[in-house]
Amino acid sequence: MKPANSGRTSIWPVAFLLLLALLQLGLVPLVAQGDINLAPLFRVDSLGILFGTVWTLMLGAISFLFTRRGRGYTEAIFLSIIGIDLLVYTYAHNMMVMAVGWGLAGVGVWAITRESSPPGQSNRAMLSLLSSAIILATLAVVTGFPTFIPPAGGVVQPWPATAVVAGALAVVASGGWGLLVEGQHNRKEVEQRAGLTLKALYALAAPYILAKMLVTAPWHPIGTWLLVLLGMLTLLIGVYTAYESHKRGRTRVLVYAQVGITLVGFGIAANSPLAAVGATWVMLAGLLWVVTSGWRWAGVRASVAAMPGLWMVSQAALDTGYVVVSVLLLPLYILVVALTIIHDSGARRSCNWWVAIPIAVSITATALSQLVVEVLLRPAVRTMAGGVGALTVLAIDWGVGMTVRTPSGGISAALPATGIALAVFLTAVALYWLKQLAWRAINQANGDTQAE
Amino acid sequence: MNPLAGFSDWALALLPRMFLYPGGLAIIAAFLLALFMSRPVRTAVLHDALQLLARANIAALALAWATLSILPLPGVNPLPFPVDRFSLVAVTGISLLLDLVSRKERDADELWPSLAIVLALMSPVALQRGLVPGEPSQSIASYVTAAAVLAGLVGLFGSVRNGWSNAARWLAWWGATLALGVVPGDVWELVTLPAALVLGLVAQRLDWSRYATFLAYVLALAALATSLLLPPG
Repeated sequence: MKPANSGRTSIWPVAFLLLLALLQLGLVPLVAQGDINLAPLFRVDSLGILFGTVWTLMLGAISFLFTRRGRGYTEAIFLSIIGIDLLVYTYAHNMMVMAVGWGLAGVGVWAITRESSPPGQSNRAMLSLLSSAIILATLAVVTGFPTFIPPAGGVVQPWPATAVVAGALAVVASGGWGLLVEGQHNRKEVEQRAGLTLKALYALAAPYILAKMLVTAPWHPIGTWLLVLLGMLTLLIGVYTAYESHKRGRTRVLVYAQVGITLVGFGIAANSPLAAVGATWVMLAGLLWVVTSGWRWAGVRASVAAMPGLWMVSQAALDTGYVVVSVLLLPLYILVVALTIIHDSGARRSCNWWVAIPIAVSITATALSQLVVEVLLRPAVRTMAGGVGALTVLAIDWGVGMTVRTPSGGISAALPATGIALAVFLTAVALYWLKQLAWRAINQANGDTQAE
Repeated sequence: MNPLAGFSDWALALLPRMFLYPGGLAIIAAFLLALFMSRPVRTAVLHDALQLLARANIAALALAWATLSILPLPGVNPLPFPVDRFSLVAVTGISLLLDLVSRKERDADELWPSLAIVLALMSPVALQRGLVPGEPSQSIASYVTAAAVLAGLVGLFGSVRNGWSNAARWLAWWGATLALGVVPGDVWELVTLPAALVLGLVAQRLDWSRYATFLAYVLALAALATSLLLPPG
């Protein structure tokens, strides 16, 4: 069947999603004066605006990828609908509305990617993508349709351990199950990559469930322990998958790693606000990673963006007594990324604007991590007032980096991100000129040899 | 403090470290080490040196050089902003990742010993409860950690011939162990660098690098276990 809009690229789905993103940014001045309560369906806060804007922008980018060659117009419309569903999920006033938005977004993801599923597994893919929303809806019913409103005061009842586990399972279900059906059949490379990116985006958006639960209340201590355990298991599964994977497993590995670290971070967040900031950072960095994961170079550079978040989660784990977690996070993360590089054989090496922009964003954000924390993450984490305390331990030196202070005023961790970026820049410039000189000398020597 | 003043203080403290000591000296030493290990016998030194320079992976080498420049070594004027062990290990680790990306062959020879060193260098946080390095310790855990790093350096030595960035990272791992105060500085400085060079050469000639790497992992896990068992300092 001749595709609609054959030979022409339509930008209106892309424009629609970008417009949605801009509208959300326009709400920032209003939210600065106080959250916007649109009960009983929606509630607009800083956390929602941060993730809603980022996800909408990403969907716009994926939509452009689909329509680039004049095909995939239908998919672009579906993406616009998924964007609206994700906004329902993001700005939900209560858990049931969140589950509905999440489920509809899952159906949309399945509808777009079903042709790329292996034969006979399309229904299984739908069930796996919907399982997360089903778990969330069940949790909403069992817990009496909780609302995502910070408590006004007094003693807050923590989420029971069973609710925490259910939330974690909802997160893992969307990531692990949805990506199990990763076969790509009879599709152009650009559409295969776009479909996989969409599934990964869906998986990486899932930990937002835990962030919204923290708006209401903290975790039961057993719930914290279970979240950390599940997060480390997910990360270890990512390591195992990276070790065993070949060529097609890269995205799945990256999702497992990012979701695992985010689970650990949000698990500890109830006891350490620093972990909440770190987990939020890792979620955002994971999105950059997914967008550029088709290019090996770009994937590594985007993964650099996760380091400040990993640093915060590591120190927070130390502060809360999860010492083994703190020791193992960095080695496991490096291992996962390294194995995806080693086992990768088919990624393109060229870099175009599609990849250059996320790379530039990730490098800039890492170098100016204190700016990202103060402007974007601190207001978002403040929204989780029901479960996360005030972030007082993180000190910012705008010119150099960030430090974590101890109660006695000492320093327990220090990340001079801007300072390190300056060092790398200066050494890179020196090395570039040295390399140019070396090539000139070699070429001159070769020219002299030929003349003789 | 004024942010620009803080940035300026950092930059002014960084420049001599980068081009003199410890960064400048270390990067030249790394170049010479890589040149010595990579050149075949009876070839022109200048030609090999230029080839080594021309083939350098700028991104990976810049990161390794940056690590060498910001090491909080004993006896060197400290930087105006502290650097913790996570930062040092992460920057060197990213340098490794960038080198892995740029290579045409898919070998993990450098990965496994490097990871053993990363694990060993991160283990002492269990004793200190903070990422900022504390005072050098003389506990069993510290010496086991030092032994793990030494074994890792021996296992890693064979990769030094692959390029300037590999040699720079090798020195960065050694320097990070000194800077993080795993063991008292004079012990590490006097004993381990010559030992790592000699043992690394021997291991490479006898093809024992994998055994050294295995030993590094065993010792790194032992260091973690002993750090967990000891009370925090």
